[in-house]
Amino acid sequence: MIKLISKLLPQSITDNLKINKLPVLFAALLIVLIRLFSDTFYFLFNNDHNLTYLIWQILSSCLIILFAFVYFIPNNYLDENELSENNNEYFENIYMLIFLNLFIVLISIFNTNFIFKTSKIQNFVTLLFVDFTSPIILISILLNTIFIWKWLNTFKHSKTNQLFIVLLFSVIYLFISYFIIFIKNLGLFDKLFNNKLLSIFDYYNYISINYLETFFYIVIGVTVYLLNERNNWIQKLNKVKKYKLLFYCFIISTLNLIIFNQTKDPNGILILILYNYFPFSIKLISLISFISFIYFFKIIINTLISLPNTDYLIQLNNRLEKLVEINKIILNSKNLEELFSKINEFSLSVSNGYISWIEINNNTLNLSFDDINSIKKNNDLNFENNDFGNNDLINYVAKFNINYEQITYIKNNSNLDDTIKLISEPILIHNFKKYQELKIIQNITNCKALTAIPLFHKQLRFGNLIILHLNEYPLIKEDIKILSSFADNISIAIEQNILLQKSIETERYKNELALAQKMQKKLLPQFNPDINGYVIESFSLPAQEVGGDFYDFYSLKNKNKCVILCDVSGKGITAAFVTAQLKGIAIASAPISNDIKEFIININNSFYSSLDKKTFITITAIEFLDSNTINIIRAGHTPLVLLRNKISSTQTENFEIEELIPKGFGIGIVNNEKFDDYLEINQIKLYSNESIVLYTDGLNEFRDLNNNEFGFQNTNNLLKNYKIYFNSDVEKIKDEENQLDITLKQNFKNYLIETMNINEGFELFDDLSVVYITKV
Amino acid sequence: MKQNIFNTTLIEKNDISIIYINGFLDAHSAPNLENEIQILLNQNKFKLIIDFSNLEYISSAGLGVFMTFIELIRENKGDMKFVNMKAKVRTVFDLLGFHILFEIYDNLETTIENFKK
Repeated sequence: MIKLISKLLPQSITDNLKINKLPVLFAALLIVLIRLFSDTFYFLFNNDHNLTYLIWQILSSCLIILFAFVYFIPNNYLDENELSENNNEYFENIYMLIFLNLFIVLISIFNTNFIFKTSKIQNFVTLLFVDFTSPIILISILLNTIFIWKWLNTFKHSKTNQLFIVLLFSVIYLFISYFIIFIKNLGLFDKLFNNKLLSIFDYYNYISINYLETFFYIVIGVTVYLLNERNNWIQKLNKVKKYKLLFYCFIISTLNLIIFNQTKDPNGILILILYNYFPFSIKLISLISFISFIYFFKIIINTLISLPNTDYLIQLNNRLEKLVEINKIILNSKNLEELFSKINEFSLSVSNGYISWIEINNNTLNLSFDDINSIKKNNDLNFENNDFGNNDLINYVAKFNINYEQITYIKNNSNLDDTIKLISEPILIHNFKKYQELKIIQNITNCKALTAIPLFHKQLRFGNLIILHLNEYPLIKEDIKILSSFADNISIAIEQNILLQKSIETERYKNELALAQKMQKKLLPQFNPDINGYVIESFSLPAQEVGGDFYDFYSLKNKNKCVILCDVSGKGITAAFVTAQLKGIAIASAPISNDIKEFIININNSFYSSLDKKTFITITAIEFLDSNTINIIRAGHTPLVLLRNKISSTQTENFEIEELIPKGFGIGIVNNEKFDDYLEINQIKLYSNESIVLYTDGLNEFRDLNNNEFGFQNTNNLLKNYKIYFNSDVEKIKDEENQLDITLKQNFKNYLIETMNINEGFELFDDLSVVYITKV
Repeated sequence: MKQNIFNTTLIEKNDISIIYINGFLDAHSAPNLENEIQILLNQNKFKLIIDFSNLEYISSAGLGVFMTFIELIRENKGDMKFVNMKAKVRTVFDLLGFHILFEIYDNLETTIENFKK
């Protein structure tokens, strides 16, 4: 039974069944039952209409209405409701109301004599009849009220609030008047008020109430009529729905009119029923049915007015919705290819087209390589490999209902290109009668009209959107306007997409760069080895882009330790790769190289055939023979700097700079024979406190903010001056042989950074590495 | 680092192409020079002289350009000779050992002469 009822009720009301309003329903039903019992009891035992019972009747009826109200009102009642997409809620509500009002009408046409012999309840059948029909009548009136209030609230306009106030006051005033009459009739007046006040209420009698009623009914009628002003929602309905609405409203307003009439008939059964159940409520029923009638009557008027405009309005509405959707596409397309294909799709629905395609000149648009490939792949377009980038070449990036061959045929055999060459706005060719040279389009595609929309990117024309229509005269002027703004949207969408792609690429590049820099750092040694008799400081300052500096320490086959400092030519990821390769080769070659010369030759051997022509590596290397003898090698690299002790005439410490430039090609430049032949190995003896320094050209080619190059001379002086300032620390090391102070190791780096003003955030153009070796 | 200026001028003397390179030859401008030389090679001109009179700086990328083409040029019985290097640039070539691999001259006439041999 509940399921049956819930099928009649609209969605929002059936939702309430799920929420815990069930107790409220039961409460209402309970009151009805209690009422039934009390009426039966009263009927059987005491037939006097005394005041107490009257109050009970009114009270119980009000309770039923109250519970029903709480039950039927949806939770979101007071929120702004907008009509859902398919307007179903409204129609569902009306449908239900029709049934309820019909019920009342059916009751009201009962023959009075059949049920009521007199105005009071004479038998049990009548009692049951009254107690069964009354709650339903009351509830249906309640639902009528709720419906009208809800939908007037949903479709509010600027005057709604004011009109509601007028309505409310009129209703209240009216019912106060009724109440006064009622009290007067009961003769209670004398008891409640003294004589002086009585005279004020003399006016309220049966005759004057008629004028009062009429006046207020007119006011209420006009107010409700004016409240029901907004009808855009009606205009949006299609023809079928409009007729359906008309039909329903016609039925309801007729039913309400009948009910209203019935409430005016003193001998009518409605009055009799309600008089016995909820006395004086008949006035309320009257009023509500009147208001309902006016409300639905207005809806009929609104619907009739909007009938003629249906098709045009619906089309217009559809087009506006399409424009809104194109904006969503602009935001959501992942790539240009998706964008183009969606644009193509949409152009058809906006313009009543049958066939469409988008053609672009890539030179102007400058699509990225990825975009081109994805477009080619997804449109099975038959491009020749070298064609993209050709100046005048037009390429088809999206098409619908037509294939590549047909488009080419049209282009080659008609003057379409010339016709649309200079347009800056969309053009519509209604039919091809005046454009004989375009007739071929009709022959191939059966389309009789053509729309061409030029596409712009940053004020440059980069292509066209061509639409073909089956019918002549497919569009009106307003449509062309919409197509114009559509074309603008396309341009914006494309620009946005290109910008987005570029920023994604930049982001990706930055991430790859960061990763490469991290890896590069890992290639360098974490700490320097202990080499007996020497103190070693080493560091590498990385450039902004990944560079190619590398240094490391190895043990050779002859058990001697050595150090190599390398610089791979070029920059970027390629140089970084070679550096990683170099590390691997060095690790592998060191243990099988008898001395430093063999080591370096082995490296050249490994690289000479694998490095590409324009890449080379420069290396300086030192082999530690014993605590004061070293061998040096220089393969194409910057000079080694030897700092010899020199006692000046004033007995202060000073050092002599000696640039060591043993012969040697860079790695990867010549074959092994030539390389071996030319490579020199020199032996150096070091005395206490003397230093030898290896560095990469990031140091001498360092440029300051004024773009001045540091140069070899400054480099040598820098290396020497460091020794003068920090010489005492070397003495410290002599004493604490096993302790390698970390701050000491950083000394030269800090000194260099300070002296050369390499602040944080200063962009190094090239890696700068130094290995500073001091004989203790 | 700012974009530094680089440009080239081409003068043909009989069958010898003289490219004057000016400014800063680094990773940014290297492709420029690469194009120039490639065009000449495509025209089967394998006798090249590079004039360094107005070259301020050369990076490893710039050196790489010469490395790229020298083998092909010599295979075609031609050569690429260098002339009028500034001291700084000369040092770079010497450190690498390029002065062994390439002929470096002090004046243009001598360079042209040496092609005839």
